[in-house]
Amino acid sequence: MLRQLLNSWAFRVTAFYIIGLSLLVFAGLLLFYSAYSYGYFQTSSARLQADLARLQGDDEAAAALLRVVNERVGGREFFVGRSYAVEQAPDGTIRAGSLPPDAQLHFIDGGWLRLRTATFRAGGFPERAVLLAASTRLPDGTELIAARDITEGIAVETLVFGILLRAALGTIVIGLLGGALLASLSLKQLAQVNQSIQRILAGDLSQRIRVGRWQGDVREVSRNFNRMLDRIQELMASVRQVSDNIAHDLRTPLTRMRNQLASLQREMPPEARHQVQDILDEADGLLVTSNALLRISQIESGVRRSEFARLDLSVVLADVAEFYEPLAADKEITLAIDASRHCLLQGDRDLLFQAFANLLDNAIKYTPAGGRIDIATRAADTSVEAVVADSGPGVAEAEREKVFRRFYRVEASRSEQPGNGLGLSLVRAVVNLHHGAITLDDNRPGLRVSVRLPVSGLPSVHGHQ
Amino acid sequence: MHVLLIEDDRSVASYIQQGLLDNGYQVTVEADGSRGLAVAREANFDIAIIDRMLPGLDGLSIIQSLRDAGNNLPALILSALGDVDDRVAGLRAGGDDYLVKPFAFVELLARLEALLRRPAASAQETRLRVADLEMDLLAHRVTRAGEVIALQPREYKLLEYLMRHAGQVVTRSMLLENVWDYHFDPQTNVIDVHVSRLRQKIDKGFDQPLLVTVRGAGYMLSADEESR
Repeated sequence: MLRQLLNSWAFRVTAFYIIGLSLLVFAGLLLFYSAYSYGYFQTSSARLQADLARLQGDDEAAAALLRVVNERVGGREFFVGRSYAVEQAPDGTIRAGSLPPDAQLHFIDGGWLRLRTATFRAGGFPERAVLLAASTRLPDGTELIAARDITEGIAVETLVFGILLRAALGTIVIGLLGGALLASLSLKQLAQVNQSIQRILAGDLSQRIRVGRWQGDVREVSRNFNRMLDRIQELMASVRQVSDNIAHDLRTPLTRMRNQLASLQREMPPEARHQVQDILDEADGLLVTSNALLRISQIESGVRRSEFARLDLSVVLADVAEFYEPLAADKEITLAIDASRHCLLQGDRDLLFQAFANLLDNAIKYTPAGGRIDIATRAADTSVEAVVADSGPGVAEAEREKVFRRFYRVEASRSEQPGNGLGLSLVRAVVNLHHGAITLDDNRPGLRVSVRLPVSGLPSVHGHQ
Repeated sequence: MHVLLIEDDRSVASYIQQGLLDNGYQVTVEADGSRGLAVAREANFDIAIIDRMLPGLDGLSIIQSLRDAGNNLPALILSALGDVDDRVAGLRAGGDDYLVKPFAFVELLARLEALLRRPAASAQETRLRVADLEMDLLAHRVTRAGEVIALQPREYKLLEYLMRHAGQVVTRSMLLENVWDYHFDPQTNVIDVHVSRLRQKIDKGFDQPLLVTVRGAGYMLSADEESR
């Protein structure tokens, strides 16, 4: 399920979209943040320069300046917004002002800012205070420093950055979860549609995709698919109708012809009778073929479902095997049957007998003398399975679907084996009538035919098993 | 033998009629169901061939009406493919038979004769005999000219059916229905193989073959050369 989800188109699109959008928004906000940050420093710096300029503008001696500085800031708590200090070069001791003695000044050679930051820890303040400082050298060599407390500003910046980062991550996570949810919903819908299609492909063309009310786009696709199936069914029905009509229309005059010929034969001298008999045999062959064709159509139309009753497939197969045993024995083919367990199902025993008789007939026809045929039945919870495996030449993979077509015969067998090419068509019609599935596999060597039939005789709700 | 044929398809009716006339039967044809029932009640027929689907009254209702009136006229129902439902199948239990269209005329004839010659009290028989071939139904023992013949269960059933219908043509689908109990078109030569195995056991080493093949129709077990 997870793998399916990760591979799903809806999930991938959502994931790419969400991650892309988040990154874009994050980049935008980062730009905004940088601009704000730059502006903040710029403003602070400008104010400090202005302060310095005002202090210098007094044009007094260093002592006087000290006094002025002390007057200006004296009595106030330091760094409550603004601090001033006068530093005497070169020993660096602060002569006047409110900058604490343990303040460490770092010079930022920031090109356009010409700023210093001062960090120190002061009593009563748990966090390190961060000050932004600007300095200028007075004519007497002392350095005048003006500083502003930017601790709060920095804190706000950190906070904003943190929020940005969390918001971006949060958006991505929520977006991915949402995408996964959306994708799994659409996957669920698609899975239903897919299952229906598989069932239909397995041969039951009467099935339709269920169209739900909340399916949106899938609903439209399902509807169109159903319409397409209607159309295919119509076409198939009309093709069938045509072949039915031909068979119907031919068999009546054919029967009449045959019976007239038989009457004629009785009036003939015995020497001439056998020649007429050949024609009669041909006519009978044609009748058998048209009969088989009509029978297949009849089975496909589902009329015979009225004959469904509870039966044991193992018994039917044992009967088929027993019926064919002499034919196998004549060809010295080993006919092994493993059908000891009960395989109960709802079905038509005559038709199932005929279907497996056709399969076994084929197996015996194509298995060389001295070969081997295995018949087995197996019961599962909701289905039973019967396998007929021979050691003949098998059927090429490309031919495995075609052999079920009416009148289709594998090229090599046309000349070698008698038959009308309807045997497997009938088998498939019977299997479909029971809502089962038939598969041909390589028996290495030979052909392995598996027929799986639902116990209920009804279409399986869980799709193709 | 007088046959009542109730069939609305004129072409089918005419060649059944022709075939029956050729085989020495007397035939009365009706195309309508209710007319057919009326005729069946009036005259004394030996057997009726009735189409399943008829205008007026359908074939099964005709038989039902006859049976309700205590008339035991044997009937052969002609049914279209797919019409073979439980009601039609139930006919067999009542001693009647059905045949799915289209059919070879020999198939119809064989079934007709089987119905006509149905023994009245076959259940009470304990011993079947055809020439020097004997079957002891109680002991499940088959002998020919006093010699015991060992048969497989299916061969025994096959022989029993053939002996019960001795002197009649028995078709492949009749054998399938009655010996194997499956109703379908035997488009295979398997039955021939079964029959030839049986023939090996009962005819080999004896001058007079009892089990013969009737070409284009089926088989016959008979002591009488002339009936073939």
